[in-house]
Amino acid sequence: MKVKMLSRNPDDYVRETKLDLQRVPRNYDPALHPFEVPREYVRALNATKLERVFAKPFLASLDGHRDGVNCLAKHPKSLSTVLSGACDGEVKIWNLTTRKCTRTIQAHEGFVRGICTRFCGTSFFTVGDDKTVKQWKMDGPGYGEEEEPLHTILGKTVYTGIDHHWKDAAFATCGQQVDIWDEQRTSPVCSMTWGFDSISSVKFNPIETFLLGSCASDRNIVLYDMRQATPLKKVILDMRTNTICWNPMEAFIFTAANEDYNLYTFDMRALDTPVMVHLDHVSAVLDVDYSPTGKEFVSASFDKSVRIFPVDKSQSREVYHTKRMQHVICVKWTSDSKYIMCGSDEMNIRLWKANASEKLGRDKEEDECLQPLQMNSRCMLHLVHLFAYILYILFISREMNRRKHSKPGSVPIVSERKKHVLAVVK
Amino acid sequence: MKATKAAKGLLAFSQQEDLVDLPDNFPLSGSEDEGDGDGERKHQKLLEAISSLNGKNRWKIPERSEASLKLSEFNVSSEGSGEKVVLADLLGPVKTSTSLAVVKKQLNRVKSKKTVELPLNKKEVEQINREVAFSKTTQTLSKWDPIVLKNRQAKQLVFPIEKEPSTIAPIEHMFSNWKARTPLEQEVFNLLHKNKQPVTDPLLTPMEKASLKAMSLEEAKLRRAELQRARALQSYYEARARREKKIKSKKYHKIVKKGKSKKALKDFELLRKVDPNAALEELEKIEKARMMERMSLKHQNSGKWAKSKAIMAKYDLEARQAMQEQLAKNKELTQKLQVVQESEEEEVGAEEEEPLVPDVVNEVQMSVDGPNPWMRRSCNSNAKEDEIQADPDPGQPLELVTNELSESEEDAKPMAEEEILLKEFEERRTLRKRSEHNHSAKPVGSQEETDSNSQEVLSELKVLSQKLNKENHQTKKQKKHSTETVCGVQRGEPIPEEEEPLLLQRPKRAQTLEELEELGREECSEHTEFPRPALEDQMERNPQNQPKGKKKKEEQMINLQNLLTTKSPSVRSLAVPTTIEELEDEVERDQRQMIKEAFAGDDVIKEFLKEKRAAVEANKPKDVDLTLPGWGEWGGMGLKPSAKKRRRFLIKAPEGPPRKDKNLPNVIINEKRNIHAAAHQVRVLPYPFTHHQQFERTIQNPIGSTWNTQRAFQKLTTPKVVTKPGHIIKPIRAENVGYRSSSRSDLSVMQSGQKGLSKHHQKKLKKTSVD
Repeated sequence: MKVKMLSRNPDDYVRETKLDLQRVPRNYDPALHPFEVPREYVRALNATKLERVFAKPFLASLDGHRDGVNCLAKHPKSLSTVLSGACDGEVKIWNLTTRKCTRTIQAHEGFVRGICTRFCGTSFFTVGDDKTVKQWKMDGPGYGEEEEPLHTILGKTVYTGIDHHWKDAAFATCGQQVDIWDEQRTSPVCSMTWGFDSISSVKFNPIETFLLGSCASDRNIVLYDMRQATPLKKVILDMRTNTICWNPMEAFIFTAANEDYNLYTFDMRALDTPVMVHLDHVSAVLDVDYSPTGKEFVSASFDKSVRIFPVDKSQSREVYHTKRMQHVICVKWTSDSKYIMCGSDEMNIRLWKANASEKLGRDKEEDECLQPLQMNSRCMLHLVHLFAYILYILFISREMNRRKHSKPGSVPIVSERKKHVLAVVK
Repeated sequence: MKATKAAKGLLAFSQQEDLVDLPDNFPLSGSEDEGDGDGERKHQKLLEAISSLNGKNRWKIPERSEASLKLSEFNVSSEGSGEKVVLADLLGPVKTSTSLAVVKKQLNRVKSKKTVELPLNKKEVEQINREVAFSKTTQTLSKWDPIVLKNRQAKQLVFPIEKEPSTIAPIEHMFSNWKARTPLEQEVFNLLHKNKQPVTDPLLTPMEKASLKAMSLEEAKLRRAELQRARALQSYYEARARREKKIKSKKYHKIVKKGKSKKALKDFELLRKVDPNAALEELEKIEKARMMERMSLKHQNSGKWAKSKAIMAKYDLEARQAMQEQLAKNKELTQKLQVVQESEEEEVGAEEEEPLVPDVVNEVQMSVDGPNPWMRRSCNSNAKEDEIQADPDPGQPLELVTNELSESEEDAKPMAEEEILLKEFEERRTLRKRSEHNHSAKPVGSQEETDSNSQEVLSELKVLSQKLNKENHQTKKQKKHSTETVCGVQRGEPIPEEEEPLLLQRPKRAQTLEELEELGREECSEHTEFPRPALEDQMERNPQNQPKGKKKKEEQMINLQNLLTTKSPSVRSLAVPTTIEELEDEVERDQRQMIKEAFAGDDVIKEFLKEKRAAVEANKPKDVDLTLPGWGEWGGMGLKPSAKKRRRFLIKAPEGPPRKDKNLPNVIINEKRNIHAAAHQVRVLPYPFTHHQQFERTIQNPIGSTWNTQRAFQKLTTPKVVTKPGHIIKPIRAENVGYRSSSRSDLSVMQSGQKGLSKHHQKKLKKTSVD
């Protein structure tokens, strides 16, 4: 009698090594999975909820300053080094991995208005209310040496901001005018003015490094060309802009943090309409910084929150706030695009994750597959941040009411983008 | 006081300029201003001024009423002339004096110089500068557009963008420090150097470069294909030639030669028809060859070989024959070609020379008439083999004929009856020919006919004979019988035999006029038959319009058309001469037809109704059939559950609420929309999608690993941005994306620009100081 036996090829089911995953045979025929879309929907929904549940963005608080933190700076070469300037003229250098202050300098009398590092990371510059620009060595003084600046430049007026050129040994300060300095000289190489109001911040373009942007308290943003030593264009907004930040991946895009609770992303070639108006804050936006990937930016606001916006969205992706965090004055996105630092009124610097639910270190793969699922679900759920949304709706409805009760045509419908730009001056 | 003065001044200023200017216009000496008269005069002046206000000439020309010794040079005015002082006026008196030439020159120079325009004010200058600078910057920024766009659309961006600089150094650097040491290396390098193999960057030899430059890929491919084809053809040809060369059979070669000659003749014929000029040239060439032949002593039996043969000829038949062959060849080569006449007159004039059938045939017939046919046949049989040997010349197509002849003869020999038949044909043809000659009125028709049949052997023969046998004719006239003519007789005699079968085979060919006429008659009969149905048709369509008298004319007109289209007798061709109204009717009908055809499928109303019906049907609640085939009875292929069962298990759907568009015939209201689902649906199409269908499709496709293979899952869930932990992401740089960034630093550019500016300023300053 012949016995028929089932025979299988062991290659199909035997692991090559012990460490391999067990193979799970699976039939992917869509006919066998009739409810794939609903199942996936439920999964995505759960994933989104879980993401919110497990969102624990806050990492650390760096305390040590004895006054509000007024400015922050990243180290260009070291991820773990951060510099901060406080309102009492103190500058502290922090080590993020140990979360300790490594060095403290009494740099200025009065506020430290601005701080920036040299592109090589060997020194940094500070400006203060005492009308001085000081250059400091990044490394601390040797044993027994006194803490002294490398150079000190005494100016005629108060400097309110400083930024270093991305390649050359030049830096720019702002105050009554925008000055461009050669590091070797004690007088500015050139100073550019357009208008008479005080300029609150100046920023170099990181890609086309000869471009500068500044914002003044007469509600305008002025662009300068350093090579030709001339201002280029000026755009006047509804309210004053506090700072601007250039996109590090797109040379002509910058975002302005405005007093009217909004952020405006501009294409510098077409200033008459912003590319995008970012709406979510409920108080003046004080600082903005781009993610080094250029896809998102973070903003710090007077409303005691930090928000993360995608560049192409008008609504924020994330809000970070804690009970103890007061008005956030300055914010920075670290240059590996993983963390966010913010300095606030109540003397603390806080460290956040850029992705709130991201697990640090291990279990990466799981995370990756979650992301698109969430994206799909996000489309379907249109999760809107409620507070901002309600505000927005209120605002809109107010306008609608006004339109309803006034003479037809007297309150025209103006798009949100056009509304806030008053004029562009050539 | 001051205030009042100022007010006064203002008043005066506002009143009239003229008034204000008054004191200037009256240069008066100080002494006169004193005393009482002063006020009076002033008053008078005022009055004058006021009086001059309304008139056009406000200025009263001031006159100096008193002579004074002192005239101040500063008070010179042009008031006397009523105009400004012009330089020319001043120069006028200077011209006369030669001593002032230098001054004159200077003055002239001044005159030629134009006044410099006022510089723009600072504000405007700055604005212009800004605008220029802005446009420049925009230009420089626009180079980033493609990169930005690419990055925005990229499915995945990996940061940091800057790759670790690859360690592969260029060959030159490696090469400079390195020397060939081992013999093998040296050998390799020797080889490389010999071939001029470049070691540095463009790794191409000069040859390769040249070839790259020479032609594009397509060209090269074409070229190669051509070459290949040519090579293949050549090889085929060579192989064939070799094969043919190996064939020993003389007969075969002869046949080949003849074939060639025939082909050449045919070609020539064709050429004559297509391009007479070229044909003439060909003829000239032949003529030239003949002349050459005549000049040379070739084939004249004067060579060494010929002499030896001449000695041998007495005894050796073969030698004699060979000599004769030579002579014959000479004759042939030196024969004068007769140019083909094409004009009618010549044809008419040379009736004898231009018969329908070649003279050779005639000759044969003549000769046939004379001697006994039986004799001739025997003669033929004798001469048969001789002929084959006696026609070695390849260039002449006559051989071909004879060759064919010989073959045909073999068939013909046993059949005497056939020959008799053939003879009869020949006789008939000669008769025909004569009649044709008589019918001088219709040479054109015959000519055409012959032309039409010129591809036949007949015409070939004719032309051939024209070309070759002019001498023949002469000899005929002189009644001389040279060997040539005999040959011709011998050759030509069987031709009809060969030709007639051809004629028999194709009886429909209009060979001669008679046949043509016959054909014509047939055609006529056909014509008379064809138009009938058409006419009748026409009559049926419009019987009132159809005049009967026109019938015959029309018949003639239509003939041709009917010949072409017998099946569908066209109405129009008949209708054309009758009436115009009819035509218009037709046009209208046509248009209507056209419109109908164009909008054939566009019955909008019907379509809509259909659509609505479909929508209603689709929205109706459906009955549910719960019958299970094979349950309680036999089931299988071709077996249906019984009607009873079906009735029992069919759950009828309840009648739904009436449709909203039940009473609206022109509306379809979609009742499918589910309000509850709307909460879960997307309001706005997400960014990368351009159409809702795209989005739906992507949403419908699951991306989880449960429904996809691992690979697909990974592909579907690739993150948009990938960053490496612990790596600093630097801003994008021109060098990273393949652009060239300026080597000069911004600071240096600025400083140099400023220096330039300052220099410019300095120059300006200098200029102003000099002036």
